[in-house]
Amino acid sequence: MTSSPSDGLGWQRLDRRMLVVHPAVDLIKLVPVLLVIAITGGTSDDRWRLGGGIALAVAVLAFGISRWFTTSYRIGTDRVELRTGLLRRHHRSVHRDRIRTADLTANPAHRLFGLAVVRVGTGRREGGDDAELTLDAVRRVEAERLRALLLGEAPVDADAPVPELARLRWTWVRFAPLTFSAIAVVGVVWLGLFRLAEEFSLRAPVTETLREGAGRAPVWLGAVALLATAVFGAAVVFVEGWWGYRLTRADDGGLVLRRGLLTRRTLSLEGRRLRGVELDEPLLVRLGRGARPLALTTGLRADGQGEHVGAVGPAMPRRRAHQVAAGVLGVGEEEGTRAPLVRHPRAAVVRRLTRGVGPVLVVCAVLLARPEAPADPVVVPILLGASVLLAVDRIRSLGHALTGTHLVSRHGAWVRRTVVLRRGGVIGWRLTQSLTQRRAGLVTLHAVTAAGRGRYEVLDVGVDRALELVEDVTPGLLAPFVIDGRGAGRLVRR
Amino acid sequence: MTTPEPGASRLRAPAHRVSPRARSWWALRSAITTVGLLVPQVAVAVVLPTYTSLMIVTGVATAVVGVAHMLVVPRWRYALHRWEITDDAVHTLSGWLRLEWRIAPISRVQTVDTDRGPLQRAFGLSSVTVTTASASGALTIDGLDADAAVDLADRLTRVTETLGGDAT
Repeated sequence: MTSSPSDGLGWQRLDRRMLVVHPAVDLIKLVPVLLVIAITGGTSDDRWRLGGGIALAVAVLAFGISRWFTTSYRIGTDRVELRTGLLRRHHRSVHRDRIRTADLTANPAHRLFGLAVVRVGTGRREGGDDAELTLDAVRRVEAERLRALLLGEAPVDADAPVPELARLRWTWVRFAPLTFSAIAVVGVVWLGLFRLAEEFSLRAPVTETLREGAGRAPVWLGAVALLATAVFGAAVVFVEGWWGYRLTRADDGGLVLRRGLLTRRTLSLEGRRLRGVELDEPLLVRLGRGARPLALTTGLRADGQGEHVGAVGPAMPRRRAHQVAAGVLGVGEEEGTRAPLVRHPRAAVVRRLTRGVGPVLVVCAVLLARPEAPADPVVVPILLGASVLLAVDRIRSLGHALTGTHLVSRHGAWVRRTVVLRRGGVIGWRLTQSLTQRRAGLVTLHAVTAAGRGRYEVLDVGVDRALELVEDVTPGLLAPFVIDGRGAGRLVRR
Repeated sequence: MTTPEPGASRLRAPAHRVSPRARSWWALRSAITTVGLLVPQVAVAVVLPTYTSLMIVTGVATAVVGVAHMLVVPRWRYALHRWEITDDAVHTLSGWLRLEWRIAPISRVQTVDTDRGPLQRAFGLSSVTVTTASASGALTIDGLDADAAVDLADRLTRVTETLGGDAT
């Protein structure tokens, strides 16, 4: 229905325009198949292929149209229900108390008709199956209304001033080529080009041209071409993903994230599901003085395909990222990702060196032991130098802190992660001590949480400090077990 | 290696071991795995005569490792695995070279499951798994006496029911 009765108990259909959108999108998906039907063969009877193609197209069209007639939803006072299916009827109902997310997405086809998809999630991940309910699609206005209704917010007034935490700055595009996804995009693009060339049997001429050209064109030209596609591809991905990026605070202390050029996404993170923030600094981004803020919330799956589901912003200048993180947490920067960190014991520093440089030393020794290796004078110093630098970087990154409200932990060199976890978000602990840690008197403390990756570690702290942290965050939990163990590095006396 | 930092405190091990019968269960499980590895080797030795001598060598190696595993590992496990339930939390301790102490506060426990495989049943044993809202927060106590496991699960379930909340 284009206009819905308020909180109607009756079943409603999706927007009427989906009668066009679904079949059209399905037909476009069918085009390659129809092309194959049209191109292949030649000996067989043409009428059969024509008939078959048309029959297939008609079937797809009919199915697309049938989806509108067979799909209906109902927003009841205590549950949301969705009925789908032509031959096999499917009925899904989600209790409204259990709804944790209601996100809107709109791909170009939807946007053309002013529609949006509403995805209702419960945020539970038992058995890896997030009980999800998708309304594909309703009118944009209706979608916004449903989102507000299901999340128990006041309807969003587009003109009303809302506290804004961040907004896109176009200068941030400079960080895009420094991220891993940029490199992946370049790989996919080049692979796609080669596959396409192969498909149209252009390969032989192409390789010939290449061979001819290789004599004239210098190597750096190839490198420049690769680099240019990397920069360009990354910029395109950045613009598509983060166009119109805006992070605002919702009434309940949660967040609303809007972004996307072709596919518009509106992601809401409920305030009571927020457990903390993470600041990621991949090596290249860090060298460009950037960082990426992420929110730790329960219910977001950590394994979003190629996309950080918890990301609340693109890679941005570090200063801004700290600000966004502080804004998300609702505390000052000095209480959050910029909290002064406690250094770890000297043994932890030594461990970073032995673990970082040790394996490389072995590799170098093997390289030097081989008599026939002309590159050794170059390779060995580079390997050693890089490993020492990385180890030093790990040492500099390592640290943790306990503020009045949060547990802060930082470590890593390839990706330096600063995790700020709310004290109340810690729902368990894990203490591990390996043989070498035992001799050095260290433990690794894992704070277990329902959000993000499930647990976050404080790497290599002294036994005393680990027990102190546990006692501070969750008083009395380990008290019955603590005994005097002066001078011992072991965590447990058997 | 460096000298340990001076420490003022550490932990005593949790009070309870698992059932002594768990040793027999683990030993039987180990034996079954070994036999499972030996059967295809024997089959190859019989069917393909060219590989008979090779199969005898690998088969003997498998048997030696399997027997050693069966004799040593169950005892280790029994000696090292400990658990205890305090008023506030469930604690488990495991691991030999790498100690691992897991804590699940009772207020955060979501589900308590008991699980009895056919082998465990033969020995009158049961496992108890305690899950929290975290993706990596589950605690498992293997090889408990079946009756004790049921009591334990009941007790935990009752305590968690009275607390309420969604434990996240």
